[in-house]
Amino acid sequence: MKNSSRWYLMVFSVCVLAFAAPVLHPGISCAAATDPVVFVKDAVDEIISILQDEKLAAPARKAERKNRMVTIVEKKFDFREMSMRALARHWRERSPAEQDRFVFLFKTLLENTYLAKIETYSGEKVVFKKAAVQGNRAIVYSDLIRKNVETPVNYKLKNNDDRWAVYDVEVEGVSLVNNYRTQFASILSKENFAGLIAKLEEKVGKGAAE
Amino acid sequence: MGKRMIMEKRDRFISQLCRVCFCCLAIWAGSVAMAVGQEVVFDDEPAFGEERDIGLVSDPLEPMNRVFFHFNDKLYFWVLKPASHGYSYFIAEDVRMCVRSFFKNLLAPVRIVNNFLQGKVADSGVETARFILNSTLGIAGLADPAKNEFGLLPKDEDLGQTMGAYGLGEGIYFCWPVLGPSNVRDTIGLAGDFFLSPVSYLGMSDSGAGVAVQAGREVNNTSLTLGEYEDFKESAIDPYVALRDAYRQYRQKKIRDVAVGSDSVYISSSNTSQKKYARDTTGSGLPESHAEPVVADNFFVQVGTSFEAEKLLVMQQALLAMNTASVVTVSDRAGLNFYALEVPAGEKFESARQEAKRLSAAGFSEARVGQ
Repeated sequence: MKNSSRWYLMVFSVCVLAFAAPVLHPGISCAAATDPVVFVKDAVDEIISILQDEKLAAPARKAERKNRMVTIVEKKFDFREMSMRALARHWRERSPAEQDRFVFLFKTLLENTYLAKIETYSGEKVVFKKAAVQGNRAIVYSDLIRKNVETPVNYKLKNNDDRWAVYDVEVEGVSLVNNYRTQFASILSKENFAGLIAKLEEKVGKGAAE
Repeated sequence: MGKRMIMEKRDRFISQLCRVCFCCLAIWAGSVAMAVGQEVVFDDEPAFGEERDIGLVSDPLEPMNRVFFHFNDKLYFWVLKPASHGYSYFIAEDVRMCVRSFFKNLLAPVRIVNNFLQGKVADSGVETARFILNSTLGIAGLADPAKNEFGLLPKDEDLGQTMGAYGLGEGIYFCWPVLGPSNVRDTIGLAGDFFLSPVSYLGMSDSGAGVAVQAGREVNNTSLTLGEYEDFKESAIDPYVALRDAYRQYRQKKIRDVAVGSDSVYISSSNTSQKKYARDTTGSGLPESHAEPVVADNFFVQVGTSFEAEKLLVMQQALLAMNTASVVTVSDRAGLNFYALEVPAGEKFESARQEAKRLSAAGFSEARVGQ
């Protein structure tokens, strides 16, 4: 019968790789300056140089290495936009302080679960395909190739004040932000915002302890 | 004697199957009523870069589904994972990948029929050609020369997608034990596709062998994706909801064929931006004296798949080492993506063209020389 129970495993682990993608292989890319493809590929090259830096590979400098990668990711991803989209209508009902807290926790969750995995993958290749641009939005299409399987990974970008920023990653058609939005909505239908924050804190705390 | 027993067994099996199908139909009829308000609307496209609002999922069986989700979770950690670990210890990864593509090739009838049912006659032909090529040249599907040598990419369709393409709603969500996430429509689809799978017919004559083959296939495939489920669980705040939503998003994109690679996504902007890429990178790859962009369509080597695209990168590097310009672009023709290496026109690049020709003589799907 069809391979029904296999795809979702791939989707999620490739979500991991969507963050890791930049690291693995620059692949083919062709674009002009200020082009969204270049914008994504730049993150690639920067993270590669960090991972290839043998001095940084020493166990004592592990934290520094992670911090450097976090810095790059924070430059490229707009976590505030991601949080807004993930909370949807609940976002406006929150105070600025609550919003900031949420952005911090969501950002930490994504960094802990995805970025920390970068080093555990090997042998993957990333091929950047073309980008589609319309107004201040862009989608960068790429293929992640692992064990002879190609998985489409799309980066969605928004241009604010002449700066691109990624606000969503789509793996095999599954949008990361939408997936979290459904989870948040489901939790918020059963408990209040403080309950959601508590769940996030627990999750983030667990990730940090590992 | 033995023959009659097999016949009896088969009759019993078919009547049981009919019963299952009937139950599914009954459940579906009930749930379609519930799902009417949430059917996918196909005609209004969301704004560029925006997600289509797919509404809320209908999951009245959530308590039961959660139990099965939990069951599947334990099945993975207690049975599937250890089995796959042991298996992968003895069997080399290359072999396991061959086994995976062997089973994928076996399911070609499902894809051929469903492409056809959706009116995608050309894609149905592509799948047929893939099946023929991979079953012969690919040694019973162990390899995929159709993709790697002929650039024929798989067109994955199943009955669930076919019904979705004709506007059928998904019905309520199910998390089946062992089989995992599904919904009413896809469950019926699965039952229908069952008749197109050779493994099912093995199961009809010998149910033990059928189960063993399915289990073996599952272990083999899992051995290639170990760690992925763990990652998924770690990233989710509520893994049950995360999986339910991911399944839904995935299936809806599949039905609309926009899970990328599909050209419809690019139509609005692809032509202009493609050209632009070729020019801009040509410009940047050229020596200083060539500030003017060179239109690079005089020569190209093209390949159909991204695996082969790596060869293009090697070629490009060789050309760059000769201090000549070249561009690698992605383009599409007749609905197929291909990767192309282009060398600009002009005498200056004659040696580069010769080199590219020489390199392309080995191992590319197609090499075309212009002018």
